[in-house]
Amino acid sequence: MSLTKKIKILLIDDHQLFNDGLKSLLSTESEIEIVGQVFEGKNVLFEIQKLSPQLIFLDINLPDENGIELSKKVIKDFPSVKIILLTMYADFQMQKEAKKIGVHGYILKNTSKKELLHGISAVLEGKNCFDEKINKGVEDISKDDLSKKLNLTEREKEIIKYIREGLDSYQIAEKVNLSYLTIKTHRRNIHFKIGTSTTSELIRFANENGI
Amino acid sequence: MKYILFFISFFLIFGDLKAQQNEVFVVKGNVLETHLEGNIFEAKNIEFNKIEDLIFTKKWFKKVENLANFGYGTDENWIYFDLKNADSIENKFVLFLDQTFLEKADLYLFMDDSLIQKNELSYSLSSNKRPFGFHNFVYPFSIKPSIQYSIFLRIKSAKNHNISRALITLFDENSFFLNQKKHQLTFGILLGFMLFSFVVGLILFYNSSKPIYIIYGVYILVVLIFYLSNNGFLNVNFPNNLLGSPQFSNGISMLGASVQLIFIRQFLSLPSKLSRFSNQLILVIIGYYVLLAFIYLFFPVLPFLPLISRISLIFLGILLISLCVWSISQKSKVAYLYLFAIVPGIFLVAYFLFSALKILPLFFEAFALPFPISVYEIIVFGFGLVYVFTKEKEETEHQLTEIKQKTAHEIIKAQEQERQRIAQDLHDDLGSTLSMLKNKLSESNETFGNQLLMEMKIADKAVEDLREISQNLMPVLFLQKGLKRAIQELISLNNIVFLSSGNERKLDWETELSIFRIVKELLNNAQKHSKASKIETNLIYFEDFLYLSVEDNGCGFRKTDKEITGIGLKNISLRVDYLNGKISKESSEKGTMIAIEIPYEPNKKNKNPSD
Repeated sequence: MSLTKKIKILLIDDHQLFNDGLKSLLSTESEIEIVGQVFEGKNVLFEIQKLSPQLIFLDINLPDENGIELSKKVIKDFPSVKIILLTMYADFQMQKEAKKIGVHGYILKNTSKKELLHGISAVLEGKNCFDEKINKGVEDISKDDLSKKLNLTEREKEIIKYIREGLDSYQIAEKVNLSYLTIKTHRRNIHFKIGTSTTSELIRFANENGI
Repeated sequence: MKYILFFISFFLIFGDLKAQQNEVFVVKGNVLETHLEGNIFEAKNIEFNKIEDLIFTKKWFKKVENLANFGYGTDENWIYFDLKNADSIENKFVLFLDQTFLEKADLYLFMDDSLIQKNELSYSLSSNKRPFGFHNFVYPFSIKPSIQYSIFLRIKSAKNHNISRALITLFDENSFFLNQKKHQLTFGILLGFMLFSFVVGLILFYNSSKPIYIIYGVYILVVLIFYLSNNGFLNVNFPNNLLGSPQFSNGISMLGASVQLIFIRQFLSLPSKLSRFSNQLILVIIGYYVLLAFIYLFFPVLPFLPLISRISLIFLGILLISLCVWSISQKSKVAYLYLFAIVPGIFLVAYFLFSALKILPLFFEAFALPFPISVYEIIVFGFGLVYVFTKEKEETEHQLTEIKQKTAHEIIKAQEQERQRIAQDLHDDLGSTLSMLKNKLSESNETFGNQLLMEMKIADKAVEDLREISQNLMPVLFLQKGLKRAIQELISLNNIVFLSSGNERKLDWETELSIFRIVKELLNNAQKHSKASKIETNLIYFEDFLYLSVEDNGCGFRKTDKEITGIGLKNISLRVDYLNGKISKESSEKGTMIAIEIPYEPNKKNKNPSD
């Protein structure tokens, strides 16, 4: 690549060692020019204005201003500047939020240089670059049948079964080997979850929905 | 109608009989204890040149009140009555004059018109110079059958006392000794009560070092000394000495008044309730009584001082009642108790006052009451103090638990803040450093031809470990995520089910963090100890409380009781306690359920949509 076509990158991270390390890491690449280093959130917009980078590497956890909030401002004021969040947070929620506000990349700090360079080129080509390895956590609990949607516990389902059989709380307590008070608590919780207030309503609901 | 007539005529006859009888008191039979109602004559402020003049003077007036009482002063006064023995044998009698501080209390016994016995007594006479060695004024004599005797008593009050009021009782000798035994027994029992109360006061003082308990003790001592003095125990043992003098008795009673005021001031916590002016006024009044006591004890006495001190005592009664009533109006419970304690004494004083003014009839029984009533007062005060003591102790304990709870709260809070800081520093700073190290290693690795692959792996592992450690210290972004999400992320193992119902509420971060720690500990316990194949975590946001349960189908914690109820559950209980929550545990061999309810404020308005 010719000199004029060097990619201008601004590094934003309050962590001095990392910021410097990243600079030296990327400086060895001939097509990359590190136009500046910023260590505080409040200087970011001014430095972008001054240095007009094509791409910024932005840390999320900055002492004065959160990287996500900063991203919103950058996207609003400098829509052409690409943003890659470079963070320690291997957090699915956080990545999701970043995606939502229109950040172009979300890369963990401990990824290799190769992946980093790959990310840079992907983003500059107009693609997105998000870390696939950040696991989704427990978000996708499949909620197929109704009792799962109602979030009933096994115990609660068991108690509903006995209620349908016409047992009272004392009898149920004996059946499931729990105290009367605990059964009362379970029944209160069941009513709350299903949205009923009387036993007959509960039985009707259970019959209709096959719980 | 007939009945009423009958009663009236009965009284007329009875009264008439008495009127006829009263010239000479006729003694018949053995058991005798009489106050000689209607038989006494008196002669006020008179000095006879010769004793024989007593018989022939015409200055005798019939006494209406059946006790010696010549008003305020130190004049010489006389009492006289005739006596006749209707029995066929000679009988022994004892005349008893119930007043301690008489300068002169002389008995002259005439048989027909000749003087046959003379006893000249004074308060300053030691007991061995008195008849029977008895400490009060008693006069034994015997009269033969069918002869008329006349008894004359010269009564002169002591200086600085000025009171000659004395109950006169005539006993046969046996009745007198019996009566004295009864009297001593009662006195002993009451003394025992006082001693007991005194010890209680000391014990309370030992346990709380509050001045009121020692004031109580001092009050008991003062009352005790006063009764010893007033009942004639000191003057016979310390004749011609300050201790045995009437001014000592009066001084002590003034001291008692001041101690009584100091006591009520503490007992009703007046310093904190009354205005500054009123408090100062009370202090001045206390000072006034102390001054009176001081003058009595150490200075030659002014003639009108006994009168002043008696009026001051009446004033004290009014003041005490007023303070009580005022405190009751301020909803003080102990004030009722105080009133309950002093009312009998005040009534008695009022009764003596009214009977002296002849507004109320005189009951001789009342003369036996002052000491028992004082002891009653002391006992009720004692109960009051024990009540106050236990109440204060409870309060202190309550405050202590509050402080304890607050401290625990502060400790937990500080701990969490510190963890938060460490977790953040580790995660962000050390994490960044290690990440960079890894990249640098990677660079060098290329330069040295894949020589550093192992080092790169180690750096990777270091970052991973770091993530886990900081996650354990504090879930990353806990504040932003909130409790529900944090729990969801905590549960990564597939045998744990997490169910949540109700609209999630943002609670303050300390509460959420505490609940998170509880869940973590519960899950820890369930996984470690129960051998369960399934664990269900249930979180329900009710309107005004959060319900949280962890239930497993494991072996229950009966066998491993010690471990479970150990530090883990203790920590949980502590946290639940300081969240004002409730915890319930149920365990059997089929599984364990621990349920916790944490109260919170019901939603006031719409929730923050951004949260």
